[in-house]
Amino acid sequence: VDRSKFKTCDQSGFCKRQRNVKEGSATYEADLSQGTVSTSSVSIPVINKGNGIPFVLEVFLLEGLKFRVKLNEAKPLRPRYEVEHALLSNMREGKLEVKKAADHWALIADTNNEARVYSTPLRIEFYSGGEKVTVINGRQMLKFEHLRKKPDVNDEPNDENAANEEGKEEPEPSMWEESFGGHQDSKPRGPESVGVDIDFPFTQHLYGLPEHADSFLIKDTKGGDPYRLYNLDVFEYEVNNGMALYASVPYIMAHSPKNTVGLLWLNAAETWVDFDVGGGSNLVDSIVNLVGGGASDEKVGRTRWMSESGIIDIFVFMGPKPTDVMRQFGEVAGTAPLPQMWAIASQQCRWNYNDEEDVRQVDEGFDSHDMPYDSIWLDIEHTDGKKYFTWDSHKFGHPVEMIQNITAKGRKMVTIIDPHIKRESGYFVHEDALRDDLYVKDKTGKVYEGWCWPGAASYLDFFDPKVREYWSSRFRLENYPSTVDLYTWNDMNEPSVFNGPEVTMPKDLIHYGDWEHRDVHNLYGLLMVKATYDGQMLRSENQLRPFILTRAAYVGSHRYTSIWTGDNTAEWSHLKISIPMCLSLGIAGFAHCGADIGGFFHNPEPELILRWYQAAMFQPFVRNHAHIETKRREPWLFGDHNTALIRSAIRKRYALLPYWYTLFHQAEMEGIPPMRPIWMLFPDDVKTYNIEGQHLIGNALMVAPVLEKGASKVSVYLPGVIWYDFYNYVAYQSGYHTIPVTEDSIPVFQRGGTIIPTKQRIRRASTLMKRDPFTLFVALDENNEARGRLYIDDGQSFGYRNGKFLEVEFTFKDNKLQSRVVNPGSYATTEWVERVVILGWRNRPASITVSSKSVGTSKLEFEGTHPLVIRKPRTLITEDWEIILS
Amino acid sequence: SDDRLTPRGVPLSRGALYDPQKDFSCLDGSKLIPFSFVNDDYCDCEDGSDEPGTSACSNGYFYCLNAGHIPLNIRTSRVNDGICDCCDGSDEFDGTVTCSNTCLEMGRAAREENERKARLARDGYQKRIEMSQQGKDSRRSKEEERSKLEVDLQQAESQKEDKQRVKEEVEAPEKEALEKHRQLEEEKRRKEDEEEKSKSEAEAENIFNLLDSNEDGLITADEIKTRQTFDRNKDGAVSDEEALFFLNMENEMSKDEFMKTGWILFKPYFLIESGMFQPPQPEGTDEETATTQEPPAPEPVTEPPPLDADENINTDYEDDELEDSEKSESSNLPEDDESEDDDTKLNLESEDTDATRVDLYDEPTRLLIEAADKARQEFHDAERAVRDVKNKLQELNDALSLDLGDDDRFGPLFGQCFDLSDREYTYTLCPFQKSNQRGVNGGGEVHLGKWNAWSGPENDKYTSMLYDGGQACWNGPARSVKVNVQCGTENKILSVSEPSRCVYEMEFSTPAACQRIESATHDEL
Repeated sequence: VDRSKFKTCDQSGFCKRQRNVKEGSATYEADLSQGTVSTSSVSIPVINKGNGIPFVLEVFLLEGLKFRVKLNEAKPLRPRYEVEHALLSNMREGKLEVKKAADHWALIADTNNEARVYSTPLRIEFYSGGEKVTVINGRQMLKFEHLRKKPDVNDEPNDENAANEEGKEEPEPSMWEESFGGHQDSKPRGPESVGVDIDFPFTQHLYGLPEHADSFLIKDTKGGDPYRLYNLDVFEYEVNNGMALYASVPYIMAHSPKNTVGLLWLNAAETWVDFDVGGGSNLVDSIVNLVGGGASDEKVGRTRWMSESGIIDIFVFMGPKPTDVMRQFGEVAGTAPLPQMWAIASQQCRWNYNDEEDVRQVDEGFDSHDMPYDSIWLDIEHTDGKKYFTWDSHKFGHPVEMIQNITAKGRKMVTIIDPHIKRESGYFVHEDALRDDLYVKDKTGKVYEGWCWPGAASYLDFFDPKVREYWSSRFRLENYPSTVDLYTWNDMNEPSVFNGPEVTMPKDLIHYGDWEHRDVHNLYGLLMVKATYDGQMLRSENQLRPFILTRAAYVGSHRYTSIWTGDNTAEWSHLKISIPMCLSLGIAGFAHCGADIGGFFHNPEPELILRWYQAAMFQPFVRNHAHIETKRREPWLFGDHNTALIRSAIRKRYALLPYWYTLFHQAEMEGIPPMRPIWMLFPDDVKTYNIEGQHLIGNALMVAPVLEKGASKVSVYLPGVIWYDFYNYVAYQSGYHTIPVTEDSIPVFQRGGTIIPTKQRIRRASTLMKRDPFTLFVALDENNEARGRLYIDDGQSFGYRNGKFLEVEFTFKDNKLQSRVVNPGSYATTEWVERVVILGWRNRPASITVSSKSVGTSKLEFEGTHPLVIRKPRTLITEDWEIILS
Repeated sequence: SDDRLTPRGVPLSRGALYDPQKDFSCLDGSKLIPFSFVNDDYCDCEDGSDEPGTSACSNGYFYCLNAGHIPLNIRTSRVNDGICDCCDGSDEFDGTVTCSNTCLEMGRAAREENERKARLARDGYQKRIEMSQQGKDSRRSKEEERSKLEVDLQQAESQKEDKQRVKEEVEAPEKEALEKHRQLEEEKRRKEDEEEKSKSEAEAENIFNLLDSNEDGLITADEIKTRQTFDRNKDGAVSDEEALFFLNMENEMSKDEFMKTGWILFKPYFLIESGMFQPPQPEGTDEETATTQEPPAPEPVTEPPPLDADENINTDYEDDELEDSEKSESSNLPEDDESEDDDTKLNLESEDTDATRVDLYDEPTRLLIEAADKARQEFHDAERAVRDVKNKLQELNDALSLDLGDDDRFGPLFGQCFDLSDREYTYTLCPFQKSNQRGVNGGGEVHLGKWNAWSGPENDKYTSMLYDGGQACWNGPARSVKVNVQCGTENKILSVSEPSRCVYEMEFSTPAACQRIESATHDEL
């Protein structure tokens, strides 16, 4: 990366001003006597004693133990931007009991949860189970820059009264204009940043704040730059730093054995966050702490959030457990909808597949090498001169026929559609946009023109509802020659502007509603994917679940789109970072996350791409993708030996698709992502808090992929009680283990006490496995018990929202495996159970009997003890059945 | 035969392995299972052999009879997956999809296609035989030529040796004579120089005596002022300054001083006076320089003209002899210029100064030089002849060492070039040499690679060629071309693609790749 292209905090005017704020310097007071109370909220006037500027503080209780705190100017010079579209519009209010004391109001949610608003100085504290878990402005570092008129440079020196007048403050750097890298930001609206300290007195274990190519556990920022949230197209990004990337979700989770809380900072402007969580990069501090012994007891996680404009709008999710926080976040930001089955299988992409013949050969290559895959993707070169919604008439002259050839084998196709529109007369999107006024404007009101793939381009203003409607209509089959089996990849939507400041739009551009780009920057990509989502709904006449992959995102984007970690590099460090990056995006709602297999830039050595395939098959979104200047990378191009190893890895993914699909359904229902940090399941095991190279899939599988070149072993921590190697059935007690690995190894462990549904008949594409029978893996716990779930539907439509699905619960207890249909299903299927594999069984049973309506009662053949393989129960998945071991 | 006896998915030929009267032994021998487990939609054998007719095993094969067309072994993972893979539809029998039997049409189409291919292959093979014949002929004639050239080379080399001997023989007396001549010349010049010097001194002394009118052994200003010759500014009188100028700004000048430095100042004025020398036009500052300048010395005729740089380069051609023959091929220089060597200056002298030679050398020496020149020329010619033969041999050996396929069937392609134009580029392939690309709308030629080797699989290497080491790509590798060679009745490029940046793939058809068609296909039913 060329760091000089991107700002440090010091080079960002407001960040520099905000970071200068000292502890205890804020002078805000709440006037409780003037506060008002409603059933779910309070409203309290606040004044900045330092300059007399009045504010309004509102605290809301939302149903399900969520507090929202809003602070805005009481009488701003003009409206300040409040984020729209990101969150659900129908949040349910909670019921609040307010206890007033002399110096504070206690806002009681239930016996375990309350918020307290203290008057002088203003601070807001949150308690969960009697423990103080969050404090806003506890260190008195609130700085809310009120809107003001630009001082007249000629008058000011002579105006003696001005300095004393209320509302006037000493001028600070970069308030009215600033420049960076030769770009001028005119800042006509002056300083308007907001910043406040938010502390977590119970823990220094803070997680999330995607998207950064950094650890999942957030690092101390003392002595370095704050983490930055500003959607940017960063060329050849580097790992292990807090620089801004393509997506911004101002959300973290704070976790300890007893409590977990979530915190959302709802602001779409450029945002920086400082963390004081111990072990910072400031060596002197650490040494002083070490010598003084002061650090050992420290458990307060201190943060400070700084945004360039807008208001202060904070959500506190009270937990108390990680999964509670995930649910609470989901109730506010929504959850990721269940993808189609094909979308969670394996995808094949390249910049670029050259023409229809190339597509045909690659598709054929997967079949001839007996490797399943589910979609082939076309990058920018498929268009006629980078004009989206068109096809290059020479290379892709028969799009419908081409797509049909792919879909005849149950596969799909995905094309890229970017937000920059080529300024070329005759290009219908451009002409429509000029005619109907659909483009983003510069500060003088002229259509903004930037530089991107097509050369001169303008950018649709997705903040305008009519633009979104227009965009959606572009996806109608009559407007885009294709079939319903063509899906969409939205790239470059930070938005990327090659010749813009920090490779994006100037902040003084004007969007719909007269908002500056500064106010809404991080939302641009969300509104684009929202419009694309609606477009895909139009395309299939609301029949098929849309699929979109995005690079830019904000909180809430996950309701519309899957995400990948952008343009990574073919290096081991980038393979490694894909895990924390997707864990971080996962807790922020992005259930369907993945990284380009092999690394986008440069050429991976065979060992790297093999290990990457193995790791990626256990991540939510699976796609092989590469830069146009790299060598071909189809999975059979690394020699016969590696081809076989990669094939084996891919097949493992396909076998587990029923389990993944069940987890994606859970993600929609409960907000819990399929790829999970270990502490989500083992909240009180502190040994899991720093693990970055291992993760869970659901609650049953632990994945510890090989992430090192030339590794002959992998160190694994297994919490809980007992685990089984999912591929060789070796049992492990809890604790640290060194697992020997070969090139075929993917260390994956099934937790004792779980049941995993799989399909072992691997077809050419996931959609062709729809009617195949199940194999259940039952891993017994120390009490010889296990539980699991299976969710099934048609894998593509919205029928499941109308009850057309099947949810099955498996229980093993008292030597009996029971399958019970939880919802007497209206989803018809002939799927059946062909095999049950029991791990942890000790003695050979005398006999095994199955009984169900369809098979009656009959004895079953079986083999082995560990694993004990039960042959062909033949029960239908749609019926209740039981297998008794005696 | 009765195919009902074989389980679904098993070809008749392997029916015996599936005996319903016996337990079934997995074909890898790993397990014995009841025959009822065969094709019961549950995978018992690790090799998948118990489920040839279902999708239960993921590593098995399903045999479709495809009556009317060609039988097919498909992966059992394609059984009952909703896609009709067998033309007889036998792979889809669970009722989810209905596959129509397309074997008759497909069989017909396939037969027609096969016939077309067979025709093509037959015609191609005929041409291949011709190409092979040509290739062999060409090899034979090259080999003959090589043998001939090897004899020529021997002759040329012995000729060269003879000529060298002759050259050395006649150069010895020439050298001696020239040495003698040189010494004489030197002596003569020395004498001339001495004469010149004493003549000049005498002249100076005369002038001194002339100027020293009072004969006191000193020239003074007064004595100078008496002579109009020294009126440098032509104002009609010789001033003190003008006089001092000649006396080196002193009052007087001794005879010794005059002989050493004074004479040089005075001489031009006496020459002017005597009309032997025209002063330069009195313009600018040239005047003074001109007046103080010595008259130019006449060119010494005895010095040979210097060699110019170009000729110098070729003097060490002996070392360059083994340089690639391309250089001499591409060179437009006449052969003569190529063979200049150390003796050139004598040659040049003798050529350029023929007219003066008569005057330079005495008759016997001149004859010796002429004889030596002739010997040298003949030696150079002999040497050149050797080199020419060697070059030709090298070329031939290179060509003969090319792997032009078994039977030399690709031989006729060597030396030819083929073009194919698409929308953007014209691609050129010169088999066994190189491949290039030119923009259709102009732009320079880009070198895609030069012949490296046959690159087909070990058992079938003549199916593709590799040309590599082409022009390097920005941010990418050096360009390379893989040429896939297939049977066709014509030699031509069928298509070119660039699967990844700067890695090209070319389809090339040639009769040389056609194989002899065996009679009927055994599989066909």
